[in-house]
Amino acid sequence: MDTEQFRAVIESAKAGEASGFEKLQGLYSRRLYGYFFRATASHHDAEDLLSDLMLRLVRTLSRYEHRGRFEPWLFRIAANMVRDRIRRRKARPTPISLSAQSDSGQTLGEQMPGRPVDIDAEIQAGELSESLQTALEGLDVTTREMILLRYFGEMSFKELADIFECPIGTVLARVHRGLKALRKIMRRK
Amino acid sequence: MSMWSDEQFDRVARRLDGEQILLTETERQLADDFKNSERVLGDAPRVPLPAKADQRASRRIASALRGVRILKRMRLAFMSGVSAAAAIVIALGLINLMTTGSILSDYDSLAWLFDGGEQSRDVWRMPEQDPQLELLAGDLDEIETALFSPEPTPLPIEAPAIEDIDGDLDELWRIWVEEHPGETDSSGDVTSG
Repeated sequence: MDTEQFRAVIESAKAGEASGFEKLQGLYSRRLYGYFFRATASHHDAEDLLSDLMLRLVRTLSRYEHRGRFEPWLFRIAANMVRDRIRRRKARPTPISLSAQSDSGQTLGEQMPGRPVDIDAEIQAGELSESLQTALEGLDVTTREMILLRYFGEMSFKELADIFECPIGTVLARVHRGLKALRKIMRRK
Repeated sequence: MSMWSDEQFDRVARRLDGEQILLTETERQLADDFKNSERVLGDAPRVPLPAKADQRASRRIASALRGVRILKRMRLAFMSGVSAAAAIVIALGLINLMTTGSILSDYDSLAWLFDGGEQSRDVWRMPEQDPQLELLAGDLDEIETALFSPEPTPLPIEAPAIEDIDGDLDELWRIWVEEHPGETDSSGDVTSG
């Protein structure tokens, strides 16, 4: 989609047309979901956040001024929502991980009879990235967000610089340092 | 202490973003070192978008669009009421000015211009004097403040509260339509004003 087509989509959505929002949803849902899932380590939270973001998009887009910076605007909202979600989650009791192994060597999920299919999928996805997820939590908030947005939100350094309002070189330097720190953390574990 | 300067980071970042920048030897080393660091994420799979999540987002969009339309209709209905009342007051003021040569100050003295029915007296009253309209204006302002935020904000959005507002809006609109028969067309749009 070229710049003019994209502008038309934004204008259509700003006018409250469902087709405009459907196109935006088609363009960004997968990336947003990927970012939300990696940031929260939960399909449930990712689904909630995606749905809430779409609601928020409908209600705030009319005030958005399109100057070719829609993605940073959208992902800044997404990053703020993740921060809020994590903040609220920390205020609640920690849930027991279904993929953590018990003394018997089985995961809690495996001990549960008649697990529904989507829980299986969640455990599988969780296991694949568990060490990475834990390592990410060892980074400072801004660096973690930059890495998540870069690799799971599929954002460019320029877009990240817009979101974090800093020079593009600073983004690369932080992501670079963050990736090295991740490697160290993962080696230690 | 980094072995690369801010400028080198800047140029390499632009190059990695796809800009045609010819890197120096030192900058190429930085780019290689960065790509090497990225391998730590190599095993992390792309997360597919579950159909369930996509469908839920679609439903949310549809519901939110409906809420926005209702809010616009209510705003229009409210503005129609204000315009009608203001036009009547201005017209009466002009009539009074032409017939008596004085500025109208006692609007109630002109109530005889209406047929005396309750409905006409309601229209005659200025909106700020009408408690129902005042209440409605207050509600609309409150709802708009709650729903629309000009910039991304770190403040949490409580989804259940917004869903409650959706329901309240529906209910408010339903009551308004019931109380104003003949002022909306078959699609529910306001026809007066």
